[in-house]
Formats: sequence, C-alpha cells, structure tokens
Amino acid sequence: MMIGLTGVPGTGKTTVANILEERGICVVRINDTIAPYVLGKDPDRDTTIIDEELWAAEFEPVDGVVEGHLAHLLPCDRVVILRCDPDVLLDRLMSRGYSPEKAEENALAEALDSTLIEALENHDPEVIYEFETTDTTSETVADFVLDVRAGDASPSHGTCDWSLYLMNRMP
Amino acid sequence: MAAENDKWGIAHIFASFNNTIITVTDLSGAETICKSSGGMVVKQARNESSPYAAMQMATNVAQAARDKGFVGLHVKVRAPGRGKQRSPGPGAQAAIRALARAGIRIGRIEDVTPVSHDSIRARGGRRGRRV
Ligand SMILES: Nc1ncnc2c1ncn2[C@@H]1O[C@H](COP(=O)(O)OP(=O)(O)O)[C@@H](O)[C@H]1O
Ligand SMILES: [Mg+2]
Repeated sequence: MMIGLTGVPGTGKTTVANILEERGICVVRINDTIAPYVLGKDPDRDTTIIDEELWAAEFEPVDGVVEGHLAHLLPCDRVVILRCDPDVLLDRLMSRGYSPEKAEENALAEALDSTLIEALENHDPEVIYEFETTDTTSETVADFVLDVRAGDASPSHGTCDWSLYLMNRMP
Repeated sequence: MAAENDKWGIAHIFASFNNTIITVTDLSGAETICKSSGGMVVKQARNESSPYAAMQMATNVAQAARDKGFVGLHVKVRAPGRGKQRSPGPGAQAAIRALARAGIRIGRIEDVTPVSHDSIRARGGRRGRRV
C-alpha cells in the first residue's frame, strides 16, 4: 500500500518520515524522484519547476510512505495531509531561512487549504486523512500515519479552518 | 460625460475550502471600501464556502461599492485547485458572476493564488483554470 504524506512545506512531513523510517517503514522522498522532470527555475520563488503531470504518470508505486508537498498528486492508496496553524507555519519557515515572501506565500497556501483542495480533485474523500499537527508531536503524527496504513484510522477532512488568518491579512 | 470620474476599485476574492471572503479596495489596495465573509451571510458554518454564500456576499459588496461611487472592479482571485471538475472551494466563480449581475463592470481578472513550494514546485495548477 502506498501512503502519500503531504502538506504545505513546514507542516512536519520530513520529520515524521524520518521517524517512520526508523520504525522500519519504506520511505520515498519525492525530492529524490524529480530529477528527470525538471523544467527550469522560478527565480522569483527560489525554486525549481517540475513537470508534475509526467512525474505522477511515470511514478513507480511503492509499498510504504511517499513524502513531499506534492505527494497528493500521485496515485496513492491513502493520503495523509498534515495541517498547521499558518501563524505557526510562518515562524517555522522564517526560522528555516525562507525569505518573508516565500514564507508568506506558503502560509497563505496553508490558510487557503490548497493541499486539501488539490487532494480532493485527485482522490476519493474516503482515502483522505487530514491531521492537525500544530500542538502535536511528530511521534504522535507518525503513530497516526501507521494507523492509517493499518486501516485503524477514519478518513476525515475539512475541520481546519484558518479563516481568521485570512481575515487578518485581507487588504 | 462622467467617464473620468468613474471610479474603479479591486475586488479581492479569497476562496478556501471552508470559507469565501471578499474585500473591495481602491486601486492602490490601501483603502478598504467594504468587506464580507461567508459567516456574515449564512447561518451554518458548513455553508460559508458555498456558491450561494459567495453570491450573497458579492451582491452586498457590489451594493456597498456602488454607493461609494464605484462603477467597475478589477478582480484578484486566490482560489486553490487546478480547475478540475470536482474542484471544491466553489465560491470564486459564483462571486464574479454575481458582481457582474449586480451591475458592476468587471475589468481585469487576475489569478494570484499562492502555490506551495520548497526547493521544487509544480508547473501546472493554473493551466486551463476557469475563474
Ligand atoms: N509537530 C511539530 N511540532 C513542532 N515543530 C515541528 C513539528 N513538526 C516539524 N516541526 C519543525 O518544523 C520545521 C519543519 O519541519 P519539516 O519536517 O522539515 O517539515 P516539511 O518536511 O513538511 O517541510 C522543522 O524545524 C521541524 O523541527
Ligand atoms: Mg520536507
């Protein structure tokens, strides 16, 4: 079974994936799979652009966890979406050394539920498991991913509402 | 001819999974003319992002903008999704149509949806989008 572990950058995917790996789960990091699909640079965003449609179409399914902020675009059997309060996310991304513009764009994407909305375009709601991590340890999140894998968790989405963040930043 | 006195503003539309929020500003974006969110027009939280709520909001906002002398609005939309059939967060399109129906002239429609990115980002997302 292939589990997608997705969420906006800074929500804790890599930390959780490291824990899962320590627990013996096969983990694939999407950043290690995109080299053949690079189209070029986006200098404004300090990022590399990939052809995600071709990448997703050619992706060899794995039995384990695929970790990365585009994992919900893959044909996963189940999708775990990590969520985080955008104000907290902003702090995390700034201390990671992102520019204010980069940190704010990601925080706004989180506030607008962008990963969830894209996941719902690609997958049945019955395979989507949203998880709010703001005040949760990565160990607990890893436990949740294992529950999802074992079929011991219930799919759910739509409970994170970051409207206040949006209201405070509307012009 | 009052053409040069015709005031234009910007409608900023934010459509998330749970809510739609519309703000009208002057062209500089600095002065807010009016503001509306799904919670102001529907009773139940689960309806705040519905096309119905977006239409109600857009109608109210159009009225308020017209009362302040605005005849037309440029639109800046932030609505995640790749424009596929099952796209959730359906508020944005309904809002733009309702603004037009309320007698507001619609100028440039700009998609300024944020994209999540770390060292990589997806190319698509905007292609084939209807806003
Ligand atoms: N559950 C958590 N609680 C507090 N801080 C966290 C949590 N998960 C991750 N972090 C911190 O947030 C930052 C981003 O985590 P990371 O796992 O790299 O996120 P991602 O891979 O989703 O971009 C790191 O500094 C990490 O220590
Ligand atoms: Mg990471």
